[in-house]
Amino acid sequence: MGRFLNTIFILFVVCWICSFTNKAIAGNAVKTDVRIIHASQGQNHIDPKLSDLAEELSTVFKYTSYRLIKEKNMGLNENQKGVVKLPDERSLVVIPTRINGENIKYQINIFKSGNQVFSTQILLKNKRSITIGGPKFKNGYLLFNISGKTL
Amino acid sequence: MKKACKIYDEKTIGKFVDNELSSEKSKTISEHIETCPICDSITAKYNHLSNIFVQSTSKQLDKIDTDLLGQNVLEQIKREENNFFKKVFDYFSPKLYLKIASIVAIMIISLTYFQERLIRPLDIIGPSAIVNSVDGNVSSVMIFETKKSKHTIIWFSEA
Ligand SMILES: [Zn+2]
Repeated sequence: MGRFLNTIFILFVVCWICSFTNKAIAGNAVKTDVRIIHASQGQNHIDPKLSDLAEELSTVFKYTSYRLIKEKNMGLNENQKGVVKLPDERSLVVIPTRINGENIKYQINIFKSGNQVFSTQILLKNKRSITIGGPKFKNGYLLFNISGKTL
Repeated sequence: MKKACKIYDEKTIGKFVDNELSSEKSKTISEHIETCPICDSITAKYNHLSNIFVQSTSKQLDKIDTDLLGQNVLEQIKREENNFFKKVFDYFSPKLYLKIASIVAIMIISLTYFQERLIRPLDIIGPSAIVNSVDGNVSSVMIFETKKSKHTIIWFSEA
C-alpha cells in the first residue's frame, strides 16, 4: 500500500512540474484571430459566427445588424507582422510584441491608402479579445475583433 | 450407432492407421479391411482425422492414441479461451497499484486541464485588454468595456 501511495505521489509531482513547464513553454507563438465586422442599423441580422460577440456588443452599441465580412486566423511569433486587408483600401497590421502565459502585448495599426490612420498598443489577456471600431463603411461602421491565445 | 466389426475394435484400427502395430498384425488387418466395409470406413475416418492432426501435432501422434489426442486438442482450445479471462483477471490483480496510479495520474492531468477552463471565467472580472497607448489621425477616441464580460472596446472617429 505504501508503494501505491508513493507511485501516486511521484506521478502527482511529475504532473505538477509539467503544468509549470507548460506555462514556461507557452510564449513562443500566439494564435491571433481577426474578425472584420460590419455593424449597422439595417435589417436585424446577427451572423451566427458572431453570436457570442454580438450579444456582448449589443449591450453598448445600438446596432441591429452584425455581419462578418472576413475572418483571418494567424499563428504569429513574437514581433511577427500579421496583415489583414480591409475594405476601402484599408489594412490592419497586428504584431504581438511580447508574449507570456498571462498576457499578449499587441501593436495594432490601421492604414488607409498606405497611410497610418490609427495605432494602438494594448495588453491583451491571454485567450480573450478586444474590439476596435470606428471607420465608416456602407451606412455603418467597421469593427475589428482581435483575439489572442498563446500556443 | 454404426455396426461394430466382430473381429477388430475401433481402437485397434486406430493403432493400425497410426502404424503402432507390428508389421505382421498390420498386414493381417490390411487384408481384413479389403473385405470388411466397417473397418474400411473406420480406417478412412481415422486417416482423415490423422491428416488433420498431423499438421499441428505430428510428433505427439506417434506416441498418443487419437482419442487422447482429440482430447488434447479440445483442452488446447479451452486453454486459449481461459487465456482471455486470465488476461482480464491479470489486469486487476498483480500490479494493481500501478494501474490505479496511472488512472489517478490521468485524472490529475485532466483536472489541471479543466482547471484552466473552470477557473478562467473568474478572470473575466478584469478587462479583456489594457490600452497602453492610442495614436493616429483621429478626431476622437473612446475606450470602454462591456458590463458583463468586461470586453474592451476602442472606438475612434477618423478625422
Ligand atoms: Zn472388420
